[in-house]
Amino acid sequence: MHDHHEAGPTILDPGQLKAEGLDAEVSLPVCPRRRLRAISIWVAAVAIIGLIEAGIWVFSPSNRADRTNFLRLDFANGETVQRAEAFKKLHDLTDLPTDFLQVGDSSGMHGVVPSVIQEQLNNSRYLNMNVATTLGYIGYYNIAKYTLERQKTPGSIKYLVLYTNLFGGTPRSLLWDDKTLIGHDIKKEFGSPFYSLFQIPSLGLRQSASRNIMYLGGLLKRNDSPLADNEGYFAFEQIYRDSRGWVREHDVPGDVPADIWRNLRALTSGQRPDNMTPEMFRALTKSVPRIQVESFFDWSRMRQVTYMEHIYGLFYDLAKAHGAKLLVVFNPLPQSAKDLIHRVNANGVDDGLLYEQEILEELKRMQGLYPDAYFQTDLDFWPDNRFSVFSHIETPYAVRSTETLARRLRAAIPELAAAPAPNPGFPRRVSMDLGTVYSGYGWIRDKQADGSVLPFIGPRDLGAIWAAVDPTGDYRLRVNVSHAKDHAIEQLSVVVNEELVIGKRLLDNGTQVEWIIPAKVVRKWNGWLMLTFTTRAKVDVPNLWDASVPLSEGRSIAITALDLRTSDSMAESSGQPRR
Amino acid sequence: MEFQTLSFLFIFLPFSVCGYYVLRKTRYANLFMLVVSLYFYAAAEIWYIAPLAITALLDFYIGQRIAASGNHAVRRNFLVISIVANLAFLSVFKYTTWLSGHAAALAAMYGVALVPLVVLLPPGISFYTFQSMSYTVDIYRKEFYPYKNVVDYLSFVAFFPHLVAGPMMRARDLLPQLARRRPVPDADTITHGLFLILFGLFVKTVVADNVGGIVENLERTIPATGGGSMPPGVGLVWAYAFTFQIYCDFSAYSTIARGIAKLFGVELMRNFHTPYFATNPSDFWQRWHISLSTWIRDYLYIPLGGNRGTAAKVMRNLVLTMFLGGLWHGAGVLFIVWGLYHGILLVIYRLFPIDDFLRRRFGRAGHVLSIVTFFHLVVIGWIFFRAQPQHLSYIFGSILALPGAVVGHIHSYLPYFHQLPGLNSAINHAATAANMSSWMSIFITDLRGVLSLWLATLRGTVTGFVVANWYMFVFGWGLFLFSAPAIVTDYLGRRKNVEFGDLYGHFPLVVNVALIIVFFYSIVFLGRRQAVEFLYFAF
Repeated sequence: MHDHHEAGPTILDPGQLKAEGLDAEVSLPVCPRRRLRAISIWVAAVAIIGLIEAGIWVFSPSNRADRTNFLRLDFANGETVQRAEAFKKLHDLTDLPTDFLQVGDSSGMHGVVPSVIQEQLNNSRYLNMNVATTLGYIGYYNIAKYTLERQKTPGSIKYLVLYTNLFGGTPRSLLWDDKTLIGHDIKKEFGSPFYSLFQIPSLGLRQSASRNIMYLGGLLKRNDSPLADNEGYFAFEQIYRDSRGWVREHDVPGDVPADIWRNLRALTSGQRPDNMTPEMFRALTKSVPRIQVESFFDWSRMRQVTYMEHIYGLFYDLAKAHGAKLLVVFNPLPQSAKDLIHRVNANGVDDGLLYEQEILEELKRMQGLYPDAYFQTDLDFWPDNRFSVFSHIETPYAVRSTETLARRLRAAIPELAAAPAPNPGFPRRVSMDLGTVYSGYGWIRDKQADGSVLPFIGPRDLGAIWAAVDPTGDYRLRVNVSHAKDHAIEQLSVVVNEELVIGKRLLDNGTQVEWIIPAKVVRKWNGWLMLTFTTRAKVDVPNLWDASVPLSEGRSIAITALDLRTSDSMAESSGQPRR
Repeated sequence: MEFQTLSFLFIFLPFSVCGYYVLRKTRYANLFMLVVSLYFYAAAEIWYIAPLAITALLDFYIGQRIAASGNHAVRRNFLVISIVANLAFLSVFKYTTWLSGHAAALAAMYGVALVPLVVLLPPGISFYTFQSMSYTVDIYRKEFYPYKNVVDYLSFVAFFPHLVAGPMMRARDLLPQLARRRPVPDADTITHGLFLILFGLFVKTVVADNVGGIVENLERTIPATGGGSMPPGVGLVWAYAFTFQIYCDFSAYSTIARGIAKLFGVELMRNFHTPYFATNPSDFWQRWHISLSTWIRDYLYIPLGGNRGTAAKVMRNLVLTMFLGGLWHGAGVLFIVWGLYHGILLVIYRLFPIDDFLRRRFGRAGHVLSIVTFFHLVVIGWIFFRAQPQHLSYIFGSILALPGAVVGHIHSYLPYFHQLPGLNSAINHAATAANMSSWMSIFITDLRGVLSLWLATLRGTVTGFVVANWYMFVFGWGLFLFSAPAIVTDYLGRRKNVEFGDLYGHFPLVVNVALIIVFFYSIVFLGRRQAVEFLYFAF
C-alpha cells in the first residue's frame, strides 16, 4: 500500500466551472484522417462479418432451431434432459405435417402414442410435442406457436391438444411466471421476433464449432455424442422421430421405491416416513404447495383474472388464429391421489393438496367462456400400479391411456366419432446400427472412411441401445462384428435389462456373435430391452456407467449392425425380424 | 439489467445514448440519465431504489450542511453522522443475515431457538455507499464543493455504467464531468468505446463465464458429506480457474463500463492494470480493483497513519487496512481471512522483498520468477475468497496430493521400464557381427527397436496417467483454452503499460478489424449462454 497521491484530478466547484466557461460545450478538433480511420475499422469489420454470414447462409444453410441460443453447450457439461428433449423435438418434428398437435408436460410425452391414436382418429396425423413440466405453460404455448407457424400449409393443423397432469400441472404462477422455467428460453429463442433478429446464419455452426474447439476435434468427446448424459435421454433419442414424439416412460419398475405411495401419504398427512431424515421431511413439508385456482390482477383487463383463464385464453386465441380447435385434456391420476385430494383434517376442514372442485368449476367456466373449445371437466383415476411415478403412466399402459384419450377426442370431435378399432402393435424396427451409440469422454482411435466403424476405448467402451419386442418368448441376439479385432470380440459382453447374458457363441467364421436372451429377461420390462454392450474385461452389474476403466491397447470393437430376432425365426432364417 | 444481454445492448443502450444526445443541451439531460439509470438498476427489483435513494439523499444533504457551516465541530459532527449512517446502513444489508445466523447457531447450543433474519442484499450497495461517502469526506476536507443540483448529484451516484460494480468513482472525478454539458464524442472516442464494450463482452462471456463453469463443475467433485476426497490435482485446476474467473469477470465489467461511459462522453477510471503480472503485494494492489484500493488508501490507510511512524505501526496499518478491505467484500470468516492474508503478504514483502531478491539474483529470469511466485500467492488467497470453510481441506488436500499421484504413478509403471532392453543389449548383439558394416547395421536396427520400446512404454505411462486423472486433464484443458486469451491480451497490454482495450487504435487497421471479427465470432461460438451474473454484483 503506497500513501503517495497520484496526480489528482482537478478540484472544481460549479461556480468555478461557470467562471471558467467550462459548463459550456467544448468542441474538440478532430483530425479528419483519424476520424476516417476510426470509422473504417468498424465499417470493414461489419462488412466482412456480413460477407461471412451471407456465405454461410448460401452455402451452409441450417435448421432454424440450430440458429438459436437455446442449447447451453457448456464446456464438459451436458444439457439437462428436458432442454435436450425440447430442442430435439423443436428441431426435428415441428415441420412434420400433422392434423393434431399435442403439447404439454411429460405425462403426455409418455402417455400418448401417436401411432396408436392415429388409427383411432380416422388415420389423422398426430404429433406429440409434450416434453416436461419444467417448461411451464409458457413453454408449451411457445412450442405450439412455433409448430403452428412452421407448418408448410397454413391452417393444416386442425386440433391443438393441451395435455397435462392436472395434479401439479394446474395453470398457476409457478408454471407461467417462474423465471427458472425452460419455457422462457423457448419463448425468447423460438417465439420472439426481437431475438430472431440475432439468430445469424453462423449460429447454425455453433454446435459443431464449439465442440470441435472445446473437445479438440472429438479427441475428448465425440462430436456427435448425445446432448445429455442420461439413460432416459438415450432412449428418447432412439425413438422420438419414428414415434412422432412419444417416448417410453424412463422410470422403469424397480427405479421407483416400492413404498412411494405410502411415503407420499405419510408425508402429506404430516408424518415423517421411516426412511426420511428429519431435515428432508421439514424441507418437503414446508414446500408442498396447495394446488388451487390462482389469480392475479390483469392491468390490461383491469380486473382479477385466474391463471387458468389467462393461459387457456392464450391457447384458445392461438388455436383460433391458426384455424384450429383447442382441446384441453388431462392425464389419468393414480387412485392414491384421491386420498390427497379429498382429505379432511381433524377439525373437519378440507386441507387436500388439490382443490378439485374449485378447479373443475373453473374448467366448466372455461367451457362456457370458450364454447367452441373442449375442456375436460372430470378426472380419471387409475389403479396405482399403472403408474411408475405420480404423473407417469407405466409403459405397458401407455396404449391404454392413449385409447382413453382417443375416446375423449372422438367424443369431442363429432366428425371423428366413427374411427376404426385400435391395433397398437409394437414398433417394428428391431435391426439397429450402433453408429449412434452413446459414449462419454474418451478418445477416438481410428475411424474408417465409410464411417461405419465405431471404435470404443477406455471409458468409451460401453454402448447402449433400446429395442421394443413382443414380451413373450426368448430371443436370439446377433451382432455383426466383422470389423472387430479378435481379442475385442472375446471381451465383448452384453447386458440386457441389467442382467448379464451368458452363453456367447461365435458364428460365420467369427463375423457374428450370438446370445440367447432368456424369456424372463425379455418379460422384465414388458418387452422393452435395454441392451448394453461392453468390452470391459470385468462387467460390474449394475454399475455399468462407472467410467473408471483403465486404458489398455486393443480394446476397440466395431459393431456395424445388430439383429434381434425370436429364437424360432432365427432358426428358420425366415427373414422376419419379429414374431 | 445486465450488460451482456441483447435487450441491454440493442434496446436500452441505444435508447439511453440517443435520448441523452437529444436532451443534452437542455436541463433535462441529467434527469434523463437519472431515470434510465434507475430503470437499469431496478429492472429486477423495484425496491433496490430505496436504499440507493436514502444513501444518496442523506449524503447530498449532509454535504450541503458541512459546506455551509464555518464551525469545525459542526462540520465534524455532520461528517460523523454521514459515516456512521452509511456504514450502519451498509452493515444492516451485508452482515445481518450472517450475524443472526451465527447467533442462532450459538443460541441453539444453549437450547434457545432463534429465527435467523434474512436480509436481501441490493446489488452494488458497497460501491455506491463508498462513492457517496467519499463525497461528504471530500467536502469536509475542503477538497470538493457540494453541488446544489440534486439531480446532478443523484445522476452521479446512479450513473448506470458503473453503478453496480464500479469503477468506484469519487464525486470529484465524475460529478464535474456529468454536471457540465458535454460535446458529442468524436469518432475515435465512440469507436474506442465500442471496442471496449466488445472486448469486455468477450472477456465476460467467453473467458470468465466458461472458467466459471469449470469452477462450478469441479466444486461438484467435493464430497457433499464427510469422507472421500477431491481427486488429486483437481483442486489446483479449480483454484486457477477461479483466479481467472474473478479477474476476468470483474475487469470485463469495468471495461464495458468504461466503453459505455465513453459513448456518453464520460471518462471512467481504469480499474485494473494487468494485476497478475504484479511482482509483489504492493504492486498488485496498485493494479487490482484500483478504484477500491485507492479509496481505501486515501480514506483509511493514510488517516490511520499510512507509512508514517514506526515499522510496527506501518505494519499494523497495513494489516488493519487489508482486514477491513476483506470485510468490505462481505460477511464470512474467509473474506476476513483473505483480507488478513493479503495484509500479512504486504508485511512479509516489506520485511523480505522477495521480488527484489529474485531480480538481483537472477536478473530477467528472476523478474519472471517473482511474477510467477506472487501469482501463486494470489491464487492461494483466492481459495479463501471463494471456498466454503468446510471445503478447504478437500481443496488443499487435492492440491497436495498431486505430487504423490505423479510419483505413485511413475512408481507403478517402473517395473515395465525395468524389463526394457538397454543400450548394452544392442551393443552386445552387434558384437557378434563379422565386420564393421554389419556391426553398424545390427546396432542401428537394435537401437531403433530399443528406442521404440522405450517410447511406447513412455507413451503408455503418460496415457495411463491421463486416464487415471481424467478430470484434471479435461478441465485443465478447458482452463487453458478459455484463460489463454486473457493471458495473451494482458501480456500485450503489459508490454505497453496499458490495458489491452486501450491498445485499440495503436494496432494497424487490419489488426483492429481482425480483432473485432475474432471477438465477435468467439462470442457467437464460445460465449456461455447460461445467464451468469457478474460476480461483484454480490458485493
